Amino acid sequence: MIKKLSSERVFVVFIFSFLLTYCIFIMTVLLADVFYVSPKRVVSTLFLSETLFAIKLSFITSIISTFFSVLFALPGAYALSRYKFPGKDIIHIIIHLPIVLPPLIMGVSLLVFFNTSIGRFLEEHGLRIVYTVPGIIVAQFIISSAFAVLVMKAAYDNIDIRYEQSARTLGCTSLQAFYKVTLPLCKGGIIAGIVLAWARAVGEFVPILIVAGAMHFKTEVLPTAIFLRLETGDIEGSVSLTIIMMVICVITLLILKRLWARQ
Amino acid sequence: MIAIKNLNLKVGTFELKDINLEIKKGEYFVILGPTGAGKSLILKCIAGLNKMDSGELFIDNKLSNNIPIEERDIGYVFQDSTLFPHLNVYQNITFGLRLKRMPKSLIEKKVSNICKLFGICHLLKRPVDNLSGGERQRVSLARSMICEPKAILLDEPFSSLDRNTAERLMIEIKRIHAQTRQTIIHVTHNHEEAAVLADRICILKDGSIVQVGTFNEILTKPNSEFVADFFCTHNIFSGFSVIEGNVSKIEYNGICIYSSQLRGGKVAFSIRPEDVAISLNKEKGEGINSFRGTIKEIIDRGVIIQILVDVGFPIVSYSLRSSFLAMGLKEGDSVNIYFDKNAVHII
Repeated sequence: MIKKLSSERVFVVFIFSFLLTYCIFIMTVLLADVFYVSPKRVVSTLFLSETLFAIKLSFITSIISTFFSVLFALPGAYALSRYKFPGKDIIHIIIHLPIVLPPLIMGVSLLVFFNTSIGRFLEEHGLRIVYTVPGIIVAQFIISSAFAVLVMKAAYDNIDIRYEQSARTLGCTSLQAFYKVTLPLCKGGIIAGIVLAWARAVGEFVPILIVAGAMHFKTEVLPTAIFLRLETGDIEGSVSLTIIMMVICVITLLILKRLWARQ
Repeated sequence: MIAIKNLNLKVGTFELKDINLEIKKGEYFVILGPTGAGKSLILKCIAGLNKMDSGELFIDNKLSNNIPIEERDIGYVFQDSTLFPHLNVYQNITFGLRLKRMPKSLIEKKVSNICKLFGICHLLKRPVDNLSGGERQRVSLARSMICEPKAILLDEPFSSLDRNTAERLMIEIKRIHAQTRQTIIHVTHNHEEAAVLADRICILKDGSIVQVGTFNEILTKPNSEFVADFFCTHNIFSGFSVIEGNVSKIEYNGICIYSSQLRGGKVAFSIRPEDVAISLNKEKGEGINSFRGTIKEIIDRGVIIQILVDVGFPIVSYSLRSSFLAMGLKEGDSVNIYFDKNAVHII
């Protein structure tokens, strides 16, 4: 018995040591930023008009791109989860591409696309993307929507299809069964998908830089602002913005988690 | 009321073959068969959860193959209840009625009636996660029945319940069916459920219907060795039969067995173990089918004791525990066994 207990304890210590090492590593890296600059510098950077613009633009674009990601992911993930159709495997691969490919490739591809005849046609008819704010949204959307689809598909997969079938036999149409039964049952997974999509969107950088550029007071989101400071050698300013971005993300995630728990 | 004509459906390697069934209004119909026979698939075709490859489904004489699930007006209760976990018991029960935008006063009245019928009034405010297995199935049945569908399909409704709960619920459903005469199609692999509940039974094997009839008809007159075996007849033999007057004389292992069924030639025949009487007394049980033999094996099945006797061929007899104890039988005893000619069923 004593032998058994001690071997279990060794096992628990073993697995927790990995978890703790991992957390300590991440926290050490992030805390290095905090010790690098003075709080005064962080506060002064926060209230610079350039920073406030970047925060505002980051929030607006990430919320819009998350909205579109969810708009496509909610039904798209459901189709992937519930239906068998020819080419499903190919669609699966396509959805994984923005996740597995380097963001640089997605950015270059977007830029090239808007230089093709279709892209030029869209630009000529009012959908101006390259070096504009909508370009930021498109660049965020192309990455964050893939995460939203995969997380929401996993949420739908976890819901027994017989709940929907029961709802149908009780008089629900397919659409009613979806919003009266399936959606409430996978609420947690859907919120997780929204949070992940937003987190990806707000942290996106390379495709934004390629498609929308890095123009002060025009296409400057927070990651772009950090990059611009680094480029000009303002390391302290760059680290200050990093801390500001970390704080904003942590606070937002805490608020969402709180709302989630309340649900 | 519900008629299936020439239903064929292939799912993977399994196939439902040429299913023809007619279920009357108010009938309690049981589809009985071993696991993997295709019982649930038939229910799913009726409910519209599975599309048929070919064949016709009539609900109230109306061809319903292409009618959407929600318009068929057929209730479905799954094996392990599918109560919606985000709704409480009341919200689950009224789910279908609220969809129909029924007036609140009428909903309350219906809820009150159905809850009294199922004895679940005290559960209404409970979240469904807090219900026991039996309570969950009662609520599932109530949720389905409150919508007054044309038929309710029960897909192995007791299989996830413990024996006592299942038995209690079985008796309750029998009482409720007697009161409401709701058409019910019930799928199970359990003979006892069929015996207690069914007006008629359909036996299914490997996607094909083998026999349809009342429980007694199927039990006493199985039309195939499979049905006889499925009902644990034990005593299934084959021999050569010659008609002699008003009986068939079947020769098996050099022994003559008499049946009231008249059929000549090579036949398979069965004798229900409960029809085989056993006695220590030589004189008792003298008759047309009476044999002397030795007890080879005794299996205690609780209320029933299964006794295997070698009378030149092995034959199984069921004895009530009280009679068995009174006779004081043990393996190796010499006993007399006898059965009526009407108990010998030529398959």
